[in-house]
Amino acid sequence: MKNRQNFSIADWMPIIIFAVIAAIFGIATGGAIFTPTNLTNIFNQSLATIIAALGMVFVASMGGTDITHGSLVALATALGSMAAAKGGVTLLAPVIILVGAVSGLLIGTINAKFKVPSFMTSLALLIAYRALVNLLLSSTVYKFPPELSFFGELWFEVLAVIILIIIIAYVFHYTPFGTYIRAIGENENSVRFSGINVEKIKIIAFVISGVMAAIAGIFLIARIGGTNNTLGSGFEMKVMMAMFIGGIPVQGGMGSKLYKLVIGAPTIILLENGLVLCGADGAVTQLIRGIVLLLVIYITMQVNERFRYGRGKEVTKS
Amino acid sequence: MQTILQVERITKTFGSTVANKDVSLSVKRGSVHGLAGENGSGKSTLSSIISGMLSADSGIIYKDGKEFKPTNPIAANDAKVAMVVQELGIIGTLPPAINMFLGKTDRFSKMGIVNIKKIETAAKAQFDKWELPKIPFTGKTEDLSVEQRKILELARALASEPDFLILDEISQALSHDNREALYKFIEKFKNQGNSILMITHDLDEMLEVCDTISVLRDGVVIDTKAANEYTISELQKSMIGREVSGNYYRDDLEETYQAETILKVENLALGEELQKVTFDLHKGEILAICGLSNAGIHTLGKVMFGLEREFTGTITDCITGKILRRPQEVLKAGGAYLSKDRDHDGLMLNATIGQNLIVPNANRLQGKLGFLSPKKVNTMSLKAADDFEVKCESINSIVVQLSGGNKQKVNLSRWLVQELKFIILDCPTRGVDVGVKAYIYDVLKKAKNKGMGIIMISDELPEAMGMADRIMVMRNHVPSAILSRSRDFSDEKIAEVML
Amino acid sequence: MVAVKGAKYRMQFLFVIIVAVLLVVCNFVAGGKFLTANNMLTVVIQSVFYTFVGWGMVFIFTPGIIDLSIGATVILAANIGAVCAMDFGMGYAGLIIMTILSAMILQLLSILCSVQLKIPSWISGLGMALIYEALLNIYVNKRALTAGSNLIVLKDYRILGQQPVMIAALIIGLVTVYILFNRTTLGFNIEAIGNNDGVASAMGINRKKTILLGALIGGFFVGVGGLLQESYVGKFYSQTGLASLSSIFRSLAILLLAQSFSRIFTMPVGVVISSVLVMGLFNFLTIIGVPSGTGQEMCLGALVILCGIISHWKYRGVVK
Repeated sequence: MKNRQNFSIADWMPIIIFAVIAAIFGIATGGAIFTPTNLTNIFNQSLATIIAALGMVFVASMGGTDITHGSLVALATALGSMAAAKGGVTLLAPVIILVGAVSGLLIGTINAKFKVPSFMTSLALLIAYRALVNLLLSSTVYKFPPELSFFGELWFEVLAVIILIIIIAYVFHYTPFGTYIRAIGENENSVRFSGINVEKIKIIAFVISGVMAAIAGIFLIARIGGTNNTLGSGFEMKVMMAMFIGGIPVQGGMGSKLYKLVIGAPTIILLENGLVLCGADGAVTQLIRGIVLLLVIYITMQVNERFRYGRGKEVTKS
Repeated sequence: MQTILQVERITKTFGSTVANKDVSLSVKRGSVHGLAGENGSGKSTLSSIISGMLSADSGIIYKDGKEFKPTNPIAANDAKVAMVVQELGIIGTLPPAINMFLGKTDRFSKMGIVNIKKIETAAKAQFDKWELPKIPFTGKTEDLSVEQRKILELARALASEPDFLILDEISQALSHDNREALYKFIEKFKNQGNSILMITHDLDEMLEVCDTISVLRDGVVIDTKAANEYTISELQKSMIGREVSGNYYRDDLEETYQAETILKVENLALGEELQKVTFDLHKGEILAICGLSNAGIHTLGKVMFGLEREFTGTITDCITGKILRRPQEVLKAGGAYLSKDRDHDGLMLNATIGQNLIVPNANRLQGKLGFLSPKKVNTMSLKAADDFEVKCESINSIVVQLSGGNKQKVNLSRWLVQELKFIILDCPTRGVDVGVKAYIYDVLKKAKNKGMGIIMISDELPEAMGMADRIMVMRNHVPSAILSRSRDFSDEKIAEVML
Repeated sequence: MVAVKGAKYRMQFLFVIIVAVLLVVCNFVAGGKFLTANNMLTVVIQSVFYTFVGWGMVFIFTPGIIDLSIGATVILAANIGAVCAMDFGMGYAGLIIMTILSAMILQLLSILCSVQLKIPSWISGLGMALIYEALLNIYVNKRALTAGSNLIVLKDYRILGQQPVMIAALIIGLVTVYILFNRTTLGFNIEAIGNNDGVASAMGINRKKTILLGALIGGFFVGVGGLLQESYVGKFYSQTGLASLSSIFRSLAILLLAQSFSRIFTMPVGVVISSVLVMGLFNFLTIIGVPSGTGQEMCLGALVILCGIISHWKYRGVVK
């Protein structure tokens, strides 16, 4: 019995795409994109996206969707800032993370126990959270407490990201929980019929997604210097693009691997950064983002189709 | 009599499974031709090819002497070939009359708007023409009973005025009275010079209704004879390819289980689907559960594994005294369950063999802090695949490429690689070739000898009689008898309590 | 079946009673300001846009396509109409024809993208929404250089936004959608594909063709909705960052609500009823002081989730 690995182009996709985009913009900007300052810039901007994607990958690998990030980040940081203003700086991080966890618990329960599609649920919450933020903040602006300014410093950010990646990679690839998550994406019934409590796993996945989004929020407001009611607008699209551009299958399953999003996040930021350096304005960037999203997903599906036997074909009884 | 349909050397392969191999048969006008075979023998594939739902890889079909190669069911209908499929094929949210003419509603429309009254009249006319049991035509089809929906599907097939009709397990859904109506209809249809290809696993029905019977086994036509030249046991023999009391089952004629009980089941019930189930499972016992497919045998398996939350009654683990209600509790008590729908509920088809083997074993292989060592996983997977002689290139092969038999080996080995106290198997040899069947029985015999308790839910009587120490026969959702190997195993006795 | 039909009438009757009671209660809470003829008329008029978009969604979503670019489509099409009417001097012809035509084409493109490229519809919809939003935004910014502002305002040609045009459109729309959905082959085919794809194909229904036709018809109604709203309000803000999702969210909620009582009222009727109910709810909330943009959207979110729970109450399959 051999243990031969399949060679799969699908595994190399994220790196190929990254290289292509880097090459295009390297030439287009005459190398300006690769200066140390710009690279640091890119890293700073991808930080929140990477962290949030580290959480959402659990949901996506099950085939589910969590599209709340933008509003959740605003809500969590708003509530955290309010708590910190009333009860002291030490409350900031815990409250923010708690809000993320509760949000995940809510979506997870509605999805797993009440069988409502996660897409519908998270979309509804995306809208509701933003409304709540508008209600809470209206014209108030909270500043990020200076005691915690180390959150915005490069060394802390790098350290935090590395630690988080290690922890998440461990859970995702080296625990039974991670295996179950990806198996649910492949065939939820088979996991259920193996006696595993699928509901519990789903809820935990959504909680992780919410918590990581909240943590990303902390870094976001640290960098920006405070929070307001428009924080995180469009963030959820960035996170999703980071995952899909990295080649994580839309329906989840065993093809979901962590390194794909670790490469995907900088790729999408590189794309935007490059466009900005080339003089494109916000609207043009969005246009290109939309086109790239469709293109990449199409390519990923095609690649997976050819190297995955039987995908999409009916297995007929004879 | 003329030949209405001539099938010549049809071959169809799905991946590595050969569903039909050089299948040939011929049907005369005004006759009913039966297609007999076990699950996985190729009946549904052949009928799907004839009805235009699939296309063959090679071979030719002639209808009325002309080459017949429908690319879709509509083209088949144009050539006057229609089929009533096995699974329910109607749109619940549309009215019955619309379902009857689905896809052809343009015929009743003027300037784009469909005349509902006209469709209803046409529908009624079809029912009257064939004297079919009446059903209501307004309201939504999902409000009809399963039987009424089946009759509607029959009427729908007839609406295209076929002279060749394929019926795939139609009587399974019908009650006694409606079956009589069906047989009357078949007579009438025949007498008008039309023909029917009938698939049914009710062999009595087949012998009674059909004029000719072809037996399929593993995708190949074994035999074609006039119906009156067959007896039931000859049919069965052809279908499974050996003596019914063959030697790939057990050799002994006595029940040989230990006195110690593993499970005590009392008054298990689930609404209307299951009632009053009480039995014990002993160490080293193979307890078969048999019955017609709607008698509740498959539901029992699900309930025992804790997959149905609302059941009443108790399942007690005799070793610890604990009451088992949920899957995790059953697993903890050393039990396991294999669903009968392997592709849907058991395996992740697009994942590798290795990945499939991990899922039921991940929990027990984990180390400190939940660490699932890739080395441990790999070792276990290689051992399982080797022990069970799974034929594949490597454990990184994708499962969907395997044959039915090898898939089942992967399915089984996922569980049997653990030290189990008992296992519930639902149709473990379904869709599996004879060689693997023998292998699986061998595995079960060995497990039994080691003291494992095996509950085997089976819709194949020869298998149950061949392997079990006791058989619990279910009839109409209730156990009707528990028979022992030494005293009661005979076709007549079992049939008596099953039907 | 007489029994079932009787049951259906009874449910409809019950429904009407419950709604009537709710109306009276709300009126009481709102100090009598809710149930006035004038207010009710306002509610109905405000619901017209969402009703039309909802009808469009019926033809698009029923076969199983979740297209989230509808919001961006409406905004883009309405602005195209306005620009053609005013900037290009095409008057009413330009307004009406270009709005509806653009909506149909944009909608078709969006769905073509999903169907041809075999991308899951919800993600392809998001991608197209990004693209449509951006396109409008780019044009609007360019136009702002000469027009002075980046908001396109429809100054003339507003007659379609006045009474009784909108009410008439609503009634004509209801009859048309009812017939299209319940009495045409396309309607049956759309329902068939949404309910059981395999059976529909076996019966010879061409999935692709049906979906694309549904997209065209859906686009038509969405376009009419945009046209009426543009005439009524006079402008459609161009937004980016997927803000267009919020604008179709109301129609999405209405669609889901209508689906959850689709056993009582057929979808075309259900959409009108839900639309009026939802707008009535917001009207009520405004009267008692709950501001829009916040409390109302939260209610909407909660409503959608509630509808989702109700409609999936006994669902036993796999849900992602």
